[in-house]
Amino acid sequence: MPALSRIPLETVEDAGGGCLRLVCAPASLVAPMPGQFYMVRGPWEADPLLPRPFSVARFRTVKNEQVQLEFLLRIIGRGTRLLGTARAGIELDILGPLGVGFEQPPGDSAWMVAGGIGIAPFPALTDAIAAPERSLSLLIGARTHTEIPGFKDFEANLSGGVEVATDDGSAGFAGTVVDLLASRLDRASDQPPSQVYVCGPHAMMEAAAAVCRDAGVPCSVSLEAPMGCGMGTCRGCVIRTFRNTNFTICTDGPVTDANVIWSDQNSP
Amino acid sequence: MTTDLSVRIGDLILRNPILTASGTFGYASEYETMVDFNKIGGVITKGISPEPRLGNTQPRIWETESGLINAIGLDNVGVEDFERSKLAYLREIDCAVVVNFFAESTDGYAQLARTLGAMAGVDALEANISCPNVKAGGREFGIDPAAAADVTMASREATNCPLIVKLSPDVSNIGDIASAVENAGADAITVANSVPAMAIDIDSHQPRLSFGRGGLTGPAVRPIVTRLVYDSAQATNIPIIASGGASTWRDVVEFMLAGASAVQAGTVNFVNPRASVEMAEGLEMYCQQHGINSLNQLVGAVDMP
Repeated sequence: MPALSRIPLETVEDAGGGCLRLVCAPASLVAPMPGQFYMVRGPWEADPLLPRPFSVARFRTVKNEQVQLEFLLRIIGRGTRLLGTARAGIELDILGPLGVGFEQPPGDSAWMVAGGIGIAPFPALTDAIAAPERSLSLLIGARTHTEIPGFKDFEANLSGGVEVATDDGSAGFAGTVVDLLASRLDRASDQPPSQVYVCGPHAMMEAAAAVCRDAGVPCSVSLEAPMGCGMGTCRGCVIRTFRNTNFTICTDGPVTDANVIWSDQNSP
Repeated sequence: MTTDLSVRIGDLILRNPILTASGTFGYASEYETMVDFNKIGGVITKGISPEPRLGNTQPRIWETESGLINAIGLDNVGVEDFERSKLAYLREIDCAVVVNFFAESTDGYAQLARTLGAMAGVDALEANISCPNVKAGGREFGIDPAAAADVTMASREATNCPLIVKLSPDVSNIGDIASAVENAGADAITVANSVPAMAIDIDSHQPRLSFGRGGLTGPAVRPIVTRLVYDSAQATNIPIIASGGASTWRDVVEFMLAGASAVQAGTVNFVNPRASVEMAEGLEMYCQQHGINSLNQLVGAVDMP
């Protein structure tokens, strides 16, 4: 069950690619599942008003069963600017863990596909699913090489390797990370991954889901929308599925099978 | 010294004047682990309609300075599913349960008031005649005194359940509407709903919300609502329930001085899920420190020039 906690911010670090890593002080918390998220708010008065949702990027259990949380963010507005420029020691209000996280892959190989800051939940996922017999790969894309977030801190467990894609061709594969995914699935058609996990902008996730569907590979996505409460009550993050039903990202998701949201064009 | 914080709305007695506002507290079970229901006066559910509603498409919310613009579009489970899947939990919680409701016609309001008012566990009804975020149903009943009176009277005749009517802030003279609703039989008036608002993306020239317009809530609207509460209280003799940006016990006291008998915690529930309990506790402490033994000493006690 989610809890509301007040936790000091321990450090704010450069995470590469214009992203920042917020590390919280260890606290008595329930450990989250990878893919779950927290509503995070700094000690300001009424502006910015709402907490901001962040996937847990990493967590570790330290002494005395205390849990230390890490978040990755990119500064995109007033809320993230204040959090990203906050000084160590300020107290954060943290509500969570919230929502539905990632499941274990059904087989021995899994690929994670990130669009920019969409890398956020993958260090925690990697920690949770890494196993000696399992091959894990990361495909990470951005517009240009300076926007590729760092992955060194969990690369050791990415036994299947890391591939970078840039729209402008300034590093790695020239094209979108979805193009890279399609080409890699094509090459691996005799040995496809048992699961693809995708996190990024919705258009990118929808395109990646279609590529996975064509290849017959299960695809789970981590969805995002402006969120007010994180508890299912404000109804702000509700999206419409292809079946014309509502999907409440904060409680039904954020992680879900892509086929719940986007249509298989061959289905009725 | 103990302070009597209780408030009477028709036949309903609230243990204290703090309620959670409709649309900000779901159907209460969502906050089970965080809110001690026995420390607040009551909860008001998401607005219930005769049929389930999907609401608007994305984007539905946009934050502005100290405020939140929403155009959810009254996304709700509908009355049948409310009774089947939400009411059992609400019956068990130790505070008043107020069900917010709306329909697209006067008859629709009456039928829904009859149905909801007869459900065991429903302690009061709040008729929403003021939602700005739908094309039909709601606001058109709230901006004209005669239409507001019709809906109130129809709902009143349909049930003996205490009836609160939630007014729009977007009217030229709220006193006229408040008075019309009082004369039509309302037990109390909620002042007010969200304030019609808009935000535009200057790069795309698109509105920030899919519906185009929305309703502003949060601390940004509180001074506007304080004036509306004052004017409504001057025009009526039934309890006024303030709803609009209250975030702390200080805001509760201010609304009461303006004339409110009770205060709703709304958008602040998203900022701090425990806010309603903290507001009730803070109010009690304020009363004790100021030697107030009945809230009647506060309500409407502003010393206007």
